[in-house]
Amino acid sequence: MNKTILIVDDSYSIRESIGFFLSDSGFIIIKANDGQDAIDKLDGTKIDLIISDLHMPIMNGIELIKNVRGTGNYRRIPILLLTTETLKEKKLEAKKAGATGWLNKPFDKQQLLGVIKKVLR
Amino acid sequence: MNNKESIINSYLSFKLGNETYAAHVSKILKILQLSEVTKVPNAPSNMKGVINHHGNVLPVIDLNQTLGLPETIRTNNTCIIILSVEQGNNIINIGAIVDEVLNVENVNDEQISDPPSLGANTLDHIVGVTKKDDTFIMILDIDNIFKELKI
Amino acid sequence: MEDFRKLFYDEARDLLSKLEETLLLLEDNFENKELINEVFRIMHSLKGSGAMFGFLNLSKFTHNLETLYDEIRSDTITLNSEIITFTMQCGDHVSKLLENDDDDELLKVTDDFKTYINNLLKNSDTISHQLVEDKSKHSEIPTKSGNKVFYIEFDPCEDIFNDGTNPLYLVDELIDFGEAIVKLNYNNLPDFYDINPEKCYLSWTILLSTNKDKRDISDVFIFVEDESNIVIEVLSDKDLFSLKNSVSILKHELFNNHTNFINLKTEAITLEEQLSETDIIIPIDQKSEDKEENKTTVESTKKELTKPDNQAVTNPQPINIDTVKVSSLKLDSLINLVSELVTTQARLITIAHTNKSNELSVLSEDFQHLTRQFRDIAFDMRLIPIETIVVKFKRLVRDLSKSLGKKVNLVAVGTETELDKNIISALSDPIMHIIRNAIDHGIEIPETRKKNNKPETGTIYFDAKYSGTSIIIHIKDDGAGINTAKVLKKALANDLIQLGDDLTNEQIFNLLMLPGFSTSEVVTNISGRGVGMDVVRKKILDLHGEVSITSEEGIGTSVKLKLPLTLSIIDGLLVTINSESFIIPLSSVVQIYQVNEKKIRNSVNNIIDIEGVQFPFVNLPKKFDNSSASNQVLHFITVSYHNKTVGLVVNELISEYQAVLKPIGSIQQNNELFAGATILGDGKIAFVMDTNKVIDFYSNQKNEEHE
Repeated sequence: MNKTILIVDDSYSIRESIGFFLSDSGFIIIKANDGQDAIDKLDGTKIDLIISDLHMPIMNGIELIKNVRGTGNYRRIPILLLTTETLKEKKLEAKKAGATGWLNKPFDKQQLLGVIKKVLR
Repeated sequence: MNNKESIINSYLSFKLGNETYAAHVSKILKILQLSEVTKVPNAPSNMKGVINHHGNVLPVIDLNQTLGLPETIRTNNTCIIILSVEQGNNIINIGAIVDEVLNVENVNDEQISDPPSLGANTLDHIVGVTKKDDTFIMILDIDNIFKELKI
Repeated sequence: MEDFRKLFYDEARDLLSKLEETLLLLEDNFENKELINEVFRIMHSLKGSGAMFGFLNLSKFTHNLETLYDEIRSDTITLNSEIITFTMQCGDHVSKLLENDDDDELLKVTDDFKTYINNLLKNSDTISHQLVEDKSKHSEIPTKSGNKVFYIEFDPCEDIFNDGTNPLYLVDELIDFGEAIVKLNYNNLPDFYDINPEKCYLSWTILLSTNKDKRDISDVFIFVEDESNIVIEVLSDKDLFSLKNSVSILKHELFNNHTNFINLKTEAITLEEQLSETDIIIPIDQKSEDKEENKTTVESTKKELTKPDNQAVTNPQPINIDTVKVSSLKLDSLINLVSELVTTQARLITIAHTNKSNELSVLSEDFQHLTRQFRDIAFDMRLIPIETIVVKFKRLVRDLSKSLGKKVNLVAVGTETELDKNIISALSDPIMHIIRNAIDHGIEIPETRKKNNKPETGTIYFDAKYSGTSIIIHIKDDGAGINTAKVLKKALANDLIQLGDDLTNEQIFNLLMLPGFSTSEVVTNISGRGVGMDVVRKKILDLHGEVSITSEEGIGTSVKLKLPLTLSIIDGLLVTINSESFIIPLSSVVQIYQVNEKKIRNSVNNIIDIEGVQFPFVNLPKKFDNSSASNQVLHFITVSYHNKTVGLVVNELISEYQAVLKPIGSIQQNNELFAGATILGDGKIAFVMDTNKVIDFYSNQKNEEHE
């Protein structure tokens, strides 16, 4: 069974490149532009993992996590945050909001797959 | 002459008036029967019009007139040869009306002698002369002809 | 990866133009949090994506700007117009970095910008933020050493499931590092009825033989290390697992209920001693062979594990529910195909008409219907809103008015109006020029405006709207207007007109668009009124458009551009002239009359009177080919020509026709009478007339004949 990953990023190029890497590795990819878009797309779709950017317009990554954790069928879904923060405190903030993990930009395909391995099989 | 041309030693020979001319085969895309040519108003006299060639609009010139010879008299043998011409960095296709297409001749570089250096206008476009069965064949520099020519 | 770099490049361009737009808005309202946030986000995106796609210097630079806007966001630095101007310059700089990320010259400038930002940050009250250069994260090169054995305890917190973590995956990840003995501890599991299925009661103790180091192992737990109890100790520096029986000995010790690290360590030391003894006995070669064998077994298991994934690769089903970005090349080839289809369809209609088969007629009409829809959609895809270039104009107005000490406001209306992308990109320069003129020569300096009872801030009004198959763009300013007397004087001096010529205002304004005309007394480096208006006119004409100027002194000037929506299909009238087919673009046709051949022949000075109106005309059958001029059935088509109406005489009027324009390339360059050619249903070629040029050409020719 192919796993479905929802990629949430307002950056087109990031969305497309991650999407490309992952669909190349056999994942089914759904893309969203921001948190709200992601929530709309979660509705009624089978999704196994969310990879989300932190800073986005309309609804940012943290709000998205809070939203997903708060309700519905997806409150246990693994969520990875993409971040450029190297400060540990910021990561803990994400963790506290309910992120399963994070991934520092820039990353390559191997790092991406490595992190996904931690949260999805 | 570049490498590609010297590897293939084939030339298409054709008649313009009473003389025999030839062009390297790499310059020839196709030979067509003379069909109806749509006239272009306000065009130079050697520009005979345009034809529809596979959905593209192709200009057709009278090669006789282009080389300063009298206009081609249309007969059953009159043909249009489609030439691939380098103009600057572009390659354009031009249909050229000739009196009669003759043959494909194999001519080695050694068999080509320099063009006679007479002052005639036509000779600028001739890169060399060869002889086949008592006939002189003048080899045309196609790119050069259309370099100066405005169509 | 190069493809993605291109994606990033395009995206960064979008972000930069968004940045510019945001900064312009921000300039009117320094306090607007939403906009500040937007700038922050743009910098953040550039930073993150830039680093992803190898634009490292760009990424570092935008990181600094991000920090700056973070401070502004949290009110430690107050935004002012200086910072906005600075940010705009930074935007320009980023745009250069985008072209060449490693250019040494640019890097020097980058440093200057950074110093500036640093000063801003220093001056702010914050002590914390100084820009930190990113340190390379790869400080340690992992040393390829032999296997070690680690002792690992992993005791996740009860609520670990809440954030979507599955602890088993982490254990699996460890096992992938090498060979492991895993013990599950379920001592804390409550009675069945007390179990909360959403809580985790389990923990693990693992002995892992691996060539990874301690940091790699702690990295496995990076997401959970804060809420879980994790112990990682080196049990042995040696490759204990390679020793016969060692695994079972360690396993035995591990599964002893009362074991702990100390007990295991003691066991390990004993084993180490055995290992050093066997080391002497077993030749090194054989040992490494053993290892090879080990590896292969691990790898083969891995292969099996990943099998489903491999299948997935051969049959990937990525679902994309997003908007699609398509390269314009692909769009162009789609349009070409559609054009071919329209041509083929026209041929089908012709055949259907001649064959008189009812079935075929119905079919061809259906096909025509579909083709039209298809064509409309395809062309619609190439349309982009004019807004994309308006942003540039805003920037221009801002920069230019500042440098000229003028106050100018650009009001843009109808920016959602869509045009073919090729037309839009060709329009940018001419419109820039018109706006430049308006600011430089139209809008007065504030003092003058005040004196004349005008608001100090001048307004340039940009308005785009549809009008049939055309789009009309007005660029109006409320500046000084054009002084017609000055224009006339200049035109006289340049021999453009004769003394005593009586010109209407309209004709006077048209003088401005003649090559080389200039009324500006002070020639500025920005523009000279008139210099370039001829170029503007030429560019608009190239797009099959029209330009006209109206102006009132003291009130302002207005430039009107009229453009077709698309360049590749023209609605026209199919006519014959001396039995050759031609297309006259419908956009220029005013009216069609039938005329008597005699009336044309007897006309004086090529002017005839139709229904009481005098029309100058061009007798096309005669002009195109005097020798075989046909005077069969004459039609008189009036077309608009520079605000006049001129008649064109043709022989037959066939029908309305949608012409797919084919380039006529080299023919066109020397024969400007035709905008292109089209291939008719029967395969014949018809030229598409550029009526303005046809009339220009043949009326000049007429003059020559008279002389």
